[in-house]
Amino acid sequence: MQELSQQAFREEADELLRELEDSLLELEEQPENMDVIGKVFRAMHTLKGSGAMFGFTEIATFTHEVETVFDLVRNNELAVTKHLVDLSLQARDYITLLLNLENDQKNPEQATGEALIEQFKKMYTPNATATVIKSTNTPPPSTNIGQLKTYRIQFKPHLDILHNGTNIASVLNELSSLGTCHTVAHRANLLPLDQVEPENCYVCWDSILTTSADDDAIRDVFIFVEDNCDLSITQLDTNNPDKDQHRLGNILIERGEVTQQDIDDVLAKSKKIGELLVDANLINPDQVESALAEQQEVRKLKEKKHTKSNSSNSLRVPAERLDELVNLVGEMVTVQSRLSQTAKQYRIPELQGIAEEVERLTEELRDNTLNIRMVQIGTTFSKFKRLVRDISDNLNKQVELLTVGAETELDKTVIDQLNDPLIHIIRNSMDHGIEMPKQRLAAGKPERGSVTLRAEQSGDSVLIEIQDDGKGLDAKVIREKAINKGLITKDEDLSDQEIFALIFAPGFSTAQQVTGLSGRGVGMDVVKRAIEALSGSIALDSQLGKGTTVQLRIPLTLAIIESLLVEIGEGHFVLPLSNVEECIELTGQAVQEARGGHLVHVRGELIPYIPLRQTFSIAGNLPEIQQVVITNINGQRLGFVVDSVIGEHQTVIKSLGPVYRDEPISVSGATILGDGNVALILDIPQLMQQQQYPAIA
Amino acid sequence: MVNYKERVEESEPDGKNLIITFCGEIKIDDIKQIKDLLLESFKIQDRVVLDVADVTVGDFSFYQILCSTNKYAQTNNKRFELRNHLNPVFYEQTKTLGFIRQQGCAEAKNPTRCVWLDQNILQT
Repeated sequence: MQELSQQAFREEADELLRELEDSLLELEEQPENMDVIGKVFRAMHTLKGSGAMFGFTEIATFTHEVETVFDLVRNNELAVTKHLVDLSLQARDYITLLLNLENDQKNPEQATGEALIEQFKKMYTPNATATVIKSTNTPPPSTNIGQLKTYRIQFKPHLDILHNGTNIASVLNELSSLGTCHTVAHRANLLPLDQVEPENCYVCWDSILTTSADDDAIRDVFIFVEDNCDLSITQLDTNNPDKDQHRLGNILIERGEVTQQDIDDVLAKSKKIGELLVDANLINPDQVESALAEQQEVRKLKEKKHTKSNSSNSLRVPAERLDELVNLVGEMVTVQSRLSQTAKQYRIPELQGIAEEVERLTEELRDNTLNIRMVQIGTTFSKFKRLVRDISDNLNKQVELLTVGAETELDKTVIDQLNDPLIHIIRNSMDHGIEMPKQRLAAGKPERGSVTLRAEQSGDSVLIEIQDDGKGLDAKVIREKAINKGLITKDEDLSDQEIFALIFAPGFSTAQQVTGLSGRGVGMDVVKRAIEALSGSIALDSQLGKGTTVQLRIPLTLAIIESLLVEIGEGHFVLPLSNVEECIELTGQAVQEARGGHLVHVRGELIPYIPLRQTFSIAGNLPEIQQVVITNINGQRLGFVVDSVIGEHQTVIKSLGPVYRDEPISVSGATILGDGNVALILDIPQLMQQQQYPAIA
Repeated sequence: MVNYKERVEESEPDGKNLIITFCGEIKIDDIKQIKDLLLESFKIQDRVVLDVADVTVGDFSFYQILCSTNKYAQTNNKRFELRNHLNPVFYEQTKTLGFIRQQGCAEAKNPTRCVWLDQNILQT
């Protein structure tokens, strides 16, 4: 039970720590922004309170010190400095480390934690020297009575809330720490001892809280239990008391203790206030009518606001469950394919009709399921802000990270696997691309360099560009280096694009010095392999003195792809449709005319081809007319000769398993066809390399 | 595993009380054991007194089951009382959880025997 709750805390805290990092970086840009300061304080406060609640005592103790400092900051007693942001970012990393420790694991960085605590303590002790203490003329918000607000908080836990280890006392304690709080437990649903399930929660609570904190801060108290309860937070308008609102009957209705009908029934027995006032000749019936109309209008407005605040349309689901769903949909696609094939075979109109209907539904189900796994790439982009900041400090360079198209969506699995390649490219840009501030000024550029991350959807792929405004690549230097390394000969005549592509060769590095960040020449070939493992491609463009752009093309999803099904002998193969340009016939005469050269004429252009029958050593007679499937990767066209093209196919990708992991077998996976046979998925970039056609020319 | 002691106390004019004394921290993992213990106790004696003087931390489920026990006792013509619930740790938690009452539950057989009534707490 405790393990479950700790896992839930880890997930929530992880998200909170990511937001905290963003807020701290934002704070560095806008040190006086009280909203951002409030966000940082609340994040620390929640981590502390919930950490203690779920048994993460070390996190609670450590975060307490940081929270104390940010309490001073939000009360205008301490200024935000770069030193404070630096320390807070280190504190955030340290909390992440504590969060990821196993229950019985010893903290290997305890000394770091203690040193950080010392630094934070220095900030709020009287002899503080590290930071500037601001004048305290402005009263702290927590003591400003004018800012105090009163809330009614109705907390109705679900019956099973205690099953995941939630400590309700901690939640209520945390709530009362926000101000003056009066809490009443409602125990009407509680069962007698012989009937009660003691691990269920039968109680709900109403709290009246007077505080300077806002709705968000109150909601944060319930952040780890919000999925397990019904929560209503209502601010009571005490500054402008509405007498109607605070009548006993209305309070009881709002609390759900009586209904309007109950009140109406009771009141029907006595005269209404309007009638009594009219009887007493104090007002006339029109005045009553007018007042009632106003009352109804106010009630309508309040109901509208209430409905709006209660609407919640998102749901947190573990990623594994989605993976399982995608797997099931994959199986469904395979079965549907079998059904369609069988229906075609038996030619029963009714069965064909059902098969078509199932096909349509399966397609919709597939698209919807894959859409659920789509995540905005901005979540990854925001992580790089910290990376750029830290590398800038390390290199003594000034670099700004700009992002465009953060809302572009990609499959979660793809996004996770993109992280490392993107880090590598950004590090390279900052280390080798962006010049030192003096050099930039001398070159007439702004002192501060920039790295731009841009994402946009293009068909069934996403294009990601990493562009810097640094010194660019020097084709001459790269060419010389390639000659020295024996990658090319002195006589080879290569375009600038072809020379730049050499950077992706294993062991290539143009850096004069090996630095801690990059320059070991293990970067870009690893990046290329990682991108190709995602069935993506990488290209590079550069202008000397102006900067470099790396472009990645990544498929939207890796689970199910559109492909072209082909046949060679009795075997079947599929090629990702996104790489296929066209199919043409290859006659015996054309083969003879090429005199053994594997080249085919396509509208005046000679295109090399690979006879797949030969590559996969498939025996048997060649058909009179073969088919060439022309593919295109980054402008490089290559044909694949097959016996026949069957047509488009929904391919559910299955991995080949560890046995084939290290084999250069030119296939990236397999898929099951409608008739139950297996078809191999061709790895086109790998085939190009094996046949000595570089993917990036 | 919850730590507890049991003893029978003679009291005039009410007869025998079964006194159960809990010690230390009471967690949710202990709560099933406590339920069974209390049900068994009522089989032995009609009057059960729970002494919480040595309780250091009590989970919410513990407070909830005390309420359930009182409901059970009232509907079965038995008697349940708390003793030493002015123990500061226990009392603070009672307040935090919003259990302190000025009036007993309306639906209770005898609302004046609510274990959370301020007056009942101060008498013990």
